[in-house]
Amino acid sequence: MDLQALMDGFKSILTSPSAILWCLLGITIGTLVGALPGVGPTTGIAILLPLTFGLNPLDALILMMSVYNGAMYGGRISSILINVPGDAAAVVSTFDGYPLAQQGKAGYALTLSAVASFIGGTLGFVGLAFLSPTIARGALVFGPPEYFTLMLFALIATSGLAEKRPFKAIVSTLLGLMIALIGMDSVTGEPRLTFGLLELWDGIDFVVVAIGVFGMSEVLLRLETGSAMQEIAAKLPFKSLFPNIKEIVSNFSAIARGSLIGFFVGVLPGAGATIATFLAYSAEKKVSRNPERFGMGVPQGLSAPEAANNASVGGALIPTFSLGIPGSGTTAILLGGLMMVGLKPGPLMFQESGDVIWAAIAGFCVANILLLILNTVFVPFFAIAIQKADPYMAPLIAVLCSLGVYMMNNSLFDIGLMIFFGFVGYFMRKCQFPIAPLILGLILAPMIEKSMRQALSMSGNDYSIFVMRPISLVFLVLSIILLFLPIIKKLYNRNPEIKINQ
Amino acid sequence: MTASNGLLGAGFFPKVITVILAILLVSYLLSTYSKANQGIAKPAAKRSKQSILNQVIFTSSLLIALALIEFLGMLVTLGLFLFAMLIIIEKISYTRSILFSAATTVCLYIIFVRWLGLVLPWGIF
Repeated sequence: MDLQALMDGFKSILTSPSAILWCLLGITIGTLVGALPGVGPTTGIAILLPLTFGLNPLDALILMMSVYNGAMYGGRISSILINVPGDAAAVVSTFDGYPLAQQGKAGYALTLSAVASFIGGTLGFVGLAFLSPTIARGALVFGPPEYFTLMLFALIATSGLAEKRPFKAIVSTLLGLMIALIGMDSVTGEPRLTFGLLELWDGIDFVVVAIGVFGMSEVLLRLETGSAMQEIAAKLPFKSLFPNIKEIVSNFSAIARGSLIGFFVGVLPGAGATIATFLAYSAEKKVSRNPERFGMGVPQGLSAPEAANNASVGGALIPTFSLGIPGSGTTAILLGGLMMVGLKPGPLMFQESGDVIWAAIAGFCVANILLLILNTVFVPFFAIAIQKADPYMAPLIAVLCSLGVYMMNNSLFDIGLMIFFGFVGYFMRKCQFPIAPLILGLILAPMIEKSMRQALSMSGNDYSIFVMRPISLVFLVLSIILLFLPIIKKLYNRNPEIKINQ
Repeated sequence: MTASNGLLGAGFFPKVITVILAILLVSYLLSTYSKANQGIAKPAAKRSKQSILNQVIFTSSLLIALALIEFLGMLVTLGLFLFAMLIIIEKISYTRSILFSAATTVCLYIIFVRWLGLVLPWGIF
């Protein structure tokens, strides 16, 4: 870790009122969107992307990362208070968080989970600051063949192609790749998939698709299902928001285990916060002396997954910053946002834009501290706000989406496209097609195509370049293993002899 | 599939993806057909008429707003759209809807136009 660079980053954040302001705004909005069922970090960042158009790269990056961080904190509020998780990663928090609230310990549950989130987030920050530059330095030796195979691996790992029933994930990924190919080919200048429409010659901006499939589809779903909010029965007296030190200390080992699990799972492409929280919960249940009490309001069943949830953010940002490879839907949107503000995520980013990146990493730490304060002292406010704001959300999201998409290119055609992609996202969600692979395909397609063309140009159209270079070969082998993993698993499960012999 | 210089052409990726998508689509159709024949296909969940009506009203209002932007300007049109949706779909009182729409429009003006300096269409205004 470049400690001096990090210190300089802290200095630029703490001496910049605008950065602090955007950080505060980001964590507040992030907590709210995280707490509102259905919205979540990915949709939250997608809707707020247009806000970054007029900002300098540092403020834009701080805003997006603060929204991401805040949404991970916010998810737990509705989980604990009304048993409705804000996003998938907050599902586990309902298991023991809601029973705690029912026992009249809502304040304790909220504060304990905020402290756990803070510790998890801090570990994520340390890991991000230590590992990102190291991995980026290691990746400097990567050429186009290595990048092509790495991106292929990331696409397979993150889009769920290796899952048991990968059909829908594959279709979603391919749709994303296809949408990215629309427009003029950057090498030959030929129009592709434009269907004679001049407006499509410049391609479809990823913001239009992201806002459509996440934001507009959310509006259409809300119109169908109505408000998911229920009355909050639990009262939150101010005094109850501060658990004593003894209670926190009794949860320390659970928080530490959850943080470590969350961080390492977060680094893996495709795993993400949801898997991290489930793993942390089951690990805690396994080490507990009273596993049968889990689900009835065990504090460790809440603190460990919450720590894992927030530690995974730092982990997920490592491949995004150091390799330019997003590990999840949220980091894919973030990566698109980084490119939009003129940054080039990848190994060279720490050299070319080191001041911005180190300041953003420092901002991540500052956001984490501010979130702890916001999520303890102002929790009653958030509890009321998410209830009162809910009926206004669908039309408000539609307005923000329309305004944001228009501002991209001052084009009404883009708003029409966004509505179209809103319906695409709506039907995909109704038919249980995952949306994150579509965004990953969309973001990675131009890079995959470019690096494949560069690699083949280097080798004079000889495809063996991908197997002749060792790093490239490793990624290729890993991709093939991942692809065939479901078949291997199926064969393994069918052959009972293998199990018996083991 | 290849350009004149022998390297990958513009059509390479679209063709490869289309072929894979077509194969997947055919296999999906066949499996759905065979499931339907065996009677194991899940019946589609029915949606309420009100939810469909809400979606139709919302989409048509947004399209009308889209057409009005050039004439009334971006912020005024979106403010009116917000007001209409709060009244028609969310059934929120007139006073609250007016207050919320006006406050949102003013906030958007301050943030996007004044603060961030972005250019929006103003129509007749």
